[in-house]
Amino acid sequence: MRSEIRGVALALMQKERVAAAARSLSAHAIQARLSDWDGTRCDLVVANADDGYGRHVIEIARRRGLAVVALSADLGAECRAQSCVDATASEATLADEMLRGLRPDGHEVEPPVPQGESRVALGRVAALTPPALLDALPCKLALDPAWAGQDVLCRLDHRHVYLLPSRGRVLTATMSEQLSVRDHLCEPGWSMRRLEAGEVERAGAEVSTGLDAFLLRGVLRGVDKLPLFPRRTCVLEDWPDLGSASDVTAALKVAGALSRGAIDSAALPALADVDPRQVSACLWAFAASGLLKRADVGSAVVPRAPSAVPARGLFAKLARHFGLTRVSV
Amino acid sequence: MIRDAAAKLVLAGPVGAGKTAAIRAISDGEALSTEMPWSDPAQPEKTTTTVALDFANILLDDGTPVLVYGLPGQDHFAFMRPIILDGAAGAIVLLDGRDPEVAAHCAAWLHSVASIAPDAAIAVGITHTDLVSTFSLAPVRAAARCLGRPVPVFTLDARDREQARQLARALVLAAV
Repeated sequence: MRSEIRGVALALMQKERVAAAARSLSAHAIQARLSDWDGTRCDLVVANADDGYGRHVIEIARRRGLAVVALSADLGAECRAQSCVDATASEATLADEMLRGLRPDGHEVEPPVPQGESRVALGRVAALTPPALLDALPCKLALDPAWAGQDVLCRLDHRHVYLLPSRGRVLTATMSEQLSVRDHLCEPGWSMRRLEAGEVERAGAEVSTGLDAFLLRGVLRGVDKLPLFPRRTCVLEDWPDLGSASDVTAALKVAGALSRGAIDSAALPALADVDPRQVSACLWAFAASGLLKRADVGSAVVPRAPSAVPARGLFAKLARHFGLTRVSV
Repeated sequence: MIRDAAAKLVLAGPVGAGKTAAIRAISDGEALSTEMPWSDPAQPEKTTTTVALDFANILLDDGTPVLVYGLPGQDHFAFMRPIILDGAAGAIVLLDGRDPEVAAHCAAWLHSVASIAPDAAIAVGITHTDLVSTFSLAPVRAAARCLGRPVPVFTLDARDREQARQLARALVLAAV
């Protein structure tokens, strides 16, 4: 489905977030094109309601019966009645509102997962996402029940890699091959097959490293090629092995937040103080490694701490010392 | 008991896991080590071992000192564990991934640490995993899960300053 979205009087940062949100709609099979308002036909208007021109266009759009997402810093009663969104809303929130505007009848919250189901399911996302996006290896591993959590041999051109979620390891014949695989992880065209018993031992792949850090680095390298991770309530029962991903502290914060209980993924960027696209990359990687579990929609908990990083006391000082937070003034 | 106003972090684990190297990596300045010559055909590249304790210092941005201790790994020094672990704010358990019994060691050390310092944040590091192509993290994770709270389990090269600090960061986040 193609959709024309017009932006009106958006500040630079707002425009960037709206553009990112529009791109993320591809996960819902909506090919959105964002351009400035010019009065021509469109499907949705995203306007700055704090701006005079923005309010003027909002009135026009409503008279025409167009869907509107109005952004405002002042969410008073009147504004809330007109479905305004906070001017600083995250990409995920904007995407949600835009989806609601484009699909007023079809935008539903995902149904709860039955108790005991732990594996992420393909579900609506696979049904709605363009096949090319799901062809990326992390997406297949994360969302397709046929592959999630399975030990697999993956091939792309001359590259071979054994991904072993059962061991938390990745094996290749050489280190250069492993680096090459990592750099091409988000490319389309990977083929996969499940491993037979004893196959890894017979294969002679001797270079063994941590699977979770490997997937994380690969996904971060190709994050622009992946859709935003679908919104869901999720949890980590085990910490991902991020020991060798020492330059990605964002992933530590995301893992720390998810290991404390089920969380709505839309709340993670604020909770972990991490950019939404980085959060999305972490979720793809953690899901692809078989660690991210889907929780019941109603089971999302309010974390014990308002932030993923300690705010006070010795551990807050240690967090600053080890580079988890900026030095306070 | 080693207990004073300063905060305390402790590195624990069996011989040859890399505790001394990790302490040197995460601390400021020189670490005080009590190393003696060591010879073990099973670990030909290990030439020294800690016989009393390792000690180093971290100075936080407000001047707070954090004392970092490393426990000797040998069983006959087990009597030192309660002396050093008592009152620790955090403990890192370092294990040797080459050891086929690594998961059992993990369970034993976690139990030992948690029984002496029940309020301490805990993280687990496993070294030398790149040397064993058959290494599996799963049994170690299962052992860590028995503690009943989320425990980060990382593989790392303890000699790498950034990887050792990464484990320390996980310890901080596990404390929240």
